Amino acid sequence: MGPETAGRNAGGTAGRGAAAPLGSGAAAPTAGGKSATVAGKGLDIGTANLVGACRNADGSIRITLERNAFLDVQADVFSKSMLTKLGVPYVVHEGKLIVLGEPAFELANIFGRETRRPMKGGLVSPNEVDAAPVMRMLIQKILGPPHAAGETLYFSVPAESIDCDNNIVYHRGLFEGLLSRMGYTPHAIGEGHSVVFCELADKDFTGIGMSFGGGMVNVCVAYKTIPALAFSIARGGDWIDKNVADVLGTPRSRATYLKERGVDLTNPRGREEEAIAIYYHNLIAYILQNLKARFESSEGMPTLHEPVDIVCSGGTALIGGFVEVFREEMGKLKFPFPVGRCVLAAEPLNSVAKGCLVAAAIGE
Amino acid sequence: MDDRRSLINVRDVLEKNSYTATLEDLKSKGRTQVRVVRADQIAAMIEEAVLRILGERKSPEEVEALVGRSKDEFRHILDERERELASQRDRLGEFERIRAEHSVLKAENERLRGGEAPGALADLLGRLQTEMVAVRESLAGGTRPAGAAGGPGEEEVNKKLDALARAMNDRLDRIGRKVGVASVVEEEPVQLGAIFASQPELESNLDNVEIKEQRAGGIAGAVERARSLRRKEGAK
Repeated sequence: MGPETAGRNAGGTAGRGAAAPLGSGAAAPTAGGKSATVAGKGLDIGTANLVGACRNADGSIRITLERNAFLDVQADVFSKSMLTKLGVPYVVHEGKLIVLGEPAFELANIFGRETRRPMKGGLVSPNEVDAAPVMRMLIQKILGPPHAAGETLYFSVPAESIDCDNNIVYHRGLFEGLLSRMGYTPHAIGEGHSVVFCELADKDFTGIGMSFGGGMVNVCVAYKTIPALAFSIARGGDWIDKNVADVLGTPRSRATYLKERGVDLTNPRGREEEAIAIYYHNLIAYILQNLKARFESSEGMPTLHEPVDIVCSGGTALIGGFVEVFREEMGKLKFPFPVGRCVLAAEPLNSVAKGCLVAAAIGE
Repeated sequence: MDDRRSLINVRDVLEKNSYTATLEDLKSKGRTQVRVVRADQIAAMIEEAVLRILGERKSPEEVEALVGRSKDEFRHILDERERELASQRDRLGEFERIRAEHSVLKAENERLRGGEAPGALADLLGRLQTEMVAVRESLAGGTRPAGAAGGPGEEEVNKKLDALARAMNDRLDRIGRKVGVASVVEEEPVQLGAIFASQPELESNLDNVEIKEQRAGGIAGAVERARSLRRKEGAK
């Protein structure tokens, strides 16, 4: 059985449908004042974005999102004043003025510079000396202080990569330390697993959750909430950006901008979009081939008789035509289990953070 | 009498020592008629002949004792054969298991080779492959006579199998950790809070900058579903 044809927002889950105040499930800015929130938070620590999630008292979810990037600029009184007036967040670190988040990305594009990234390949960047203090500021900014000392917080961690050696232990320990110091009781949860928690409630949390992030792609096969197989691939949006930038001879931030301005992978226009589409096809095929190989070679996999749904989430999956390309590449492979729906998460950028929040709410 | 009959299964012996030919085959060899004899009749004839010869030379008691000893000896040989077969089956099973593991590792090696595989892994798999060939050759040439004790050849094969299994288990465990199916106990997470303890508070304007917020779809349904599932699983 091949993947079902389902629309971009098709296949609503119990989670999505139950208390979505906006009907379509799409996120929208709040109209000003903050409402009271319920204890327990979720945090998606991604290479490209940091996303916080908490529950409002009315059942809706408050999402705070910031690009995980920074840029150092000349530190002087005028710059500080100007940045504050423009609502641009900064910190002063070792004599440098460090612009945080999305404004750093915008400034980098304006001045033709590369943003600095605290994380690389899904983990804290070993080459970025300012990573720890910058991430502390960014996380403090999006999470705020805990309701009470020891508030439960679930944060996402990548699974071990199958195509490179990476140190998950250090990464996890670093954020546990940081979040503990902020007054939370942190718990780590796999990134792919949290997608299952957010998106596959109507399937009793059985299926495949995929998170297409900036630094890597995380995959989790879960059976009734229990992860049976989890792995990551050290390729993601950054890998696409790098390759596109290389073939086009442009800075990476330019490639990111091109990718995010609204490309349709099923109908690429011009050399730049063609390059992006080629690398997307390649990335998706690579992940699916690895999923198939892992499934066939791993012991202790549950026998799945019912069709298994696959949900794709993450910023890299936001591009137009992603699910169509995904289904196209899936159709080229024969999987050892029946495949059900292949859908994009209702809120791809928020899925992981919301999955962490579900885990926090049930004390997973 | 029943016991004696069970000593030799004539039907089994006939089946093992005869072949099947179709009527067309026989016809092509110019045979139009064949004599037919039933296995039971052959068994009865053999038994009668043996007992007649024994009866001429021995007393009925001696015949009975002789049959008893023969039966014991036969059972002893049969047991030995069965033990030997079981051992061979075990070794064959182990061999097949290792071969399957080897296939997995080979596939992994090829995949990694395709994407900048570390040379150490390729070397390890190469060595394992060589060992596999050696073990296979040992097994193929090491069939020992029935009832003979295991010699140094068998020890060598067992040692190689053990070493190979250990090496592959180690490797599989490492792969298992990568795919999240490892049987090993996860190590305790490292506490790295001290990294942040040494950092002074930084000057920033974060308190004066509005945090952008969005509202997203609720999770109440998912939370309820998970709790309900947990209750059901707990009740089982």
